[in-house]
Amino acid sequence: MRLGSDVDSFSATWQRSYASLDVLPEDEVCHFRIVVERQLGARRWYRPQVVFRIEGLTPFDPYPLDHAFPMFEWGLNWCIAMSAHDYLMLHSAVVERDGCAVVLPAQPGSGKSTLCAALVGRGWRLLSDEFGILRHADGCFLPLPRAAPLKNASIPLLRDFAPHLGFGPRYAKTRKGDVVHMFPPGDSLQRQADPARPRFIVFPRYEPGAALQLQEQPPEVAMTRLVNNSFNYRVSGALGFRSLCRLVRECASYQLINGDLSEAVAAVESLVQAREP
Amino acid sequence: MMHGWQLSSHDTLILEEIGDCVAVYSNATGETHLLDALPAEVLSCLSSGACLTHLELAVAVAKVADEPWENWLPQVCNVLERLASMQLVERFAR
Amino acid sequence: MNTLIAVLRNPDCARELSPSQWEALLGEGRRSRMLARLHHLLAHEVPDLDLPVAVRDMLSGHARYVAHMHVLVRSELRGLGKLAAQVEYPVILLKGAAYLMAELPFAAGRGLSDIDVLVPRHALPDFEQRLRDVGWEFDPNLTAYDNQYYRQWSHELPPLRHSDCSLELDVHHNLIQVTSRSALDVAPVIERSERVAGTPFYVLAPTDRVLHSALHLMMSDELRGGIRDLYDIHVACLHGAERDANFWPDLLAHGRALGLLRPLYYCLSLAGDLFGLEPPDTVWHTVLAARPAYPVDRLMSTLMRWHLVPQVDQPWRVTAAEQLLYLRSHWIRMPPGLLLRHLVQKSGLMAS
Repeated sequence: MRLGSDVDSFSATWQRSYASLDVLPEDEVCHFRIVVERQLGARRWYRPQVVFRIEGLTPFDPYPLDHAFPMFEWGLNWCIAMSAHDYLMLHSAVVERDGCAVVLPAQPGSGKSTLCAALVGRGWRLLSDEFGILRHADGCFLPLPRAAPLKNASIPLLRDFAPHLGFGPRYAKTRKGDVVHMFPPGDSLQRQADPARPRFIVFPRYEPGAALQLQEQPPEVAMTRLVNNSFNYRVSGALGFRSLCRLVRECASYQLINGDLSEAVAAVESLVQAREP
Repeated sequence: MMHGWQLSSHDTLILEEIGDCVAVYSNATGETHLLDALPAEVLSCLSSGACLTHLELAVAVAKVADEPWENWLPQVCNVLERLASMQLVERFAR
Repeated sequence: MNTLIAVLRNPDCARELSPSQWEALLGEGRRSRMLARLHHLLAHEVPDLDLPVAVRDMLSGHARYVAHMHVLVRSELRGLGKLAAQVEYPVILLKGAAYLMAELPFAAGRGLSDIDVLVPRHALPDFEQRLRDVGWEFDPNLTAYDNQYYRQWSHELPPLRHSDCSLELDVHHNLIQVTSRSALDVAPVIERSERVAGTPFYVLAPTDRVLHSALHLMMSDELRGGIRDLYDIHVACLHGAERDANFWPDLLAHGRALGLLRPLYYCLSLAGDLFGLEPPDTVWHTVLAARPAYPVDRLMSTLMRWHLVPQVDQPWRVTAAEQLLYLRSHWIRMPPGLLLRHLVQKSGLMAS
C-alpha cells in the first residue's frame, strides 16, 4: 500500500501503530494507493472533515477530522474485502504460537477482538484481528497484522490484562461506541510475510457472568458456521467449498462460552499445550 | 411413460465427506448443501449420470442398508422431492 | 498516453510496464471497472507474462468476483427461460446478459449488476403479469411519482426484484426513453433479433448491439466506466466484421434507418482514436457525413476525451466534463419542460 495524508494527527498515530513495518521499495508494485486528506471547502475550518480516497475515488462519506485513523482502518478493510477474492476471507481473528494457528471466527459483539488482543498480550503472534485470509493453494492463513479496535468495556479490561501492549488514542462516540486501538506488536509486523497453518477453530462467545464452557464441535457444524461467517464464500465458488472442507477436516473445532477473559485465554492455551507431544 | 430422476442436467456436483454428513457443492447454482446419509446415498446412486426411478433408487438404497426396499420407498420419495427443491436433481421422462 | 488504453490497444506492451505504470494501470482499471476484464485480456494475450504479485491479486480477485456474478446471472436466466419459453413474442436479452448467453468473446470479465431484457411494447402487460405470477416484485418503496414516471415516460418498467435472486431485472420496451427528441422505432430492431441456439432467448443482431451500446454510451447518465462501454463497441465491431462480411454496410444501413448515425460517428471516431478501430473507408466516409458542425464536434470530442481519459493531475476537468455530459444526456432524453419537472421533483422542491 502507498499512503498519503495531510492530516498530521493521523500520520502520527499511523506511524506509532506501524513503526516496525519496512517501507515498500519504489520498484515494487503496491495493491492500493490511498490518500487520507482534509475535505476542502468551508468545512476546512468549521467542524473539519477528512475523506478516504482510493485511486482518486471516494467510496464513503467524510468522517470528522479527528476520526481519521478509525476511518482509514475501516476504509482499508473495505478495500481488501472488495478485492481479495483470490482468498477465502473469514470474519475471524487469527493468532499463532509455535507454528500452530488458532482461528477465532465470530460475529461482532462476541468478544473476538478482546480475546484476540489478550492472546497477543500473552505473546501470541497476531495474524489478523478481523480478516482471516485463507489461501486456497495450501490452506494456510496469510497474516494481515493491523491495529485492533477495542470497544467500550474491553478498553480498561485489556489495559489491565496486557499493559505492555501499545494502545492508540481514544475515539469517543464512533458508530460502535468508544474505540481504542491495540497496536500490532513489532514482531507480528516483522513476520507479516510468514503464513501459518491452522490447527484449531474456536468460536468464542462472551456472556457476562457465564461459567467457562469449552465444547468440541462436529466438523459439519463448524462448516455451516464458517459458511455464514465468510465474507466471500459464495464468490469463491468451488475453491471456497474445497478450502472450507479442508479447514474443518484438518482442525479441531470448539465452542468457547466465557464470562472471564483470563479463563478464556487459559482455555485456548490449554488446547494448544495438550496437542504438543 | 415412466418418470425417472437424474442429476440436474446443467450441473456438476462436488461431494465431500464432512464428519457424519456429505457436503455438496453445486457448480451451477453456487449453493452448498449439507446432506445426511440417505440423500447423500441417493445422489451417489445418480452420480454416474444414471436416470433411475424412485423404485430403482429404493432398491439400491435397501441393498446398502440390507433391508426390504418397501421400507425405504416413502423416505426415498421424500428425499427426491427435497433434492429437487434444492435444484440438485430433476425429473426425467424415460 | 493513459496506461489502460495503451494496454487495451496493445496487450503486448504490458511486458514493458514499469512498477509505477502497473500502479497507474490498477488505478485506471479500478476507476473504469475493468480490472476483471484486464485479467482475461492479459491471461489470453500474454499468457507467459509473470505479473507482479499485487497486480495478480487485484486482477484475479476482481475476475473471480465477476465470474461469481456470471454464475448468479446464468442461474437467474434459467428461471427466466422457463417463462420465455412459454410466450409467443421474443424475449431479447440486452447488454451483459446477452453477451453471456450468446457466449460472446467479450463476456469474460465483464461485470454486470442487473439483467436487462427487451420485449415488444404490446407484450409488456402480459410479460409483466407473468413475471409477477412467479414472484417478481417492484420495490415496495417505489413512490407513486416514480412509478408513474416510469410508466408514462420511460423505456422500461421500474426495476423488478425476486426473493430468490440477488440481481435486479429491468424490462425494456425500447432502447431509449420514449420521450427522447430522437425517438426510436424499435420494431425493426426486434424483427432482426436472433434466437440464441439451445435457449429460449433472443439477442440483438450484431449491428444493433453496436448501435445500442453507442446510444447507451452517449446518453447514459452514468459516465464512469465509459471507457469500458467504448471498448465493448470496439470489440463488438471487430467481432461482427470478422463473422460477417456485410457487417459494416449493415451497421451503416441500420444506423441510418434508426437515425443513429450521429452517436455512431462519435463512438467510431473515439474508438479509432483510442483503440485504433478502422472501419472500411466507404463506411467511414458515410459516417463522417453525420458529423455535427465543427465547433460542436470539437466540443463534444474534447469533453468525451476528458471524460474517458482523465488526466490524474487535472481532476477538475473530469468533474466539469461529467457535469456537462450529464446535463446533455438528460437534455437529449426529455423535452425541456419535462426535464425541469423531473429535476425539480428529484431535488425534492415539489414535495413541500
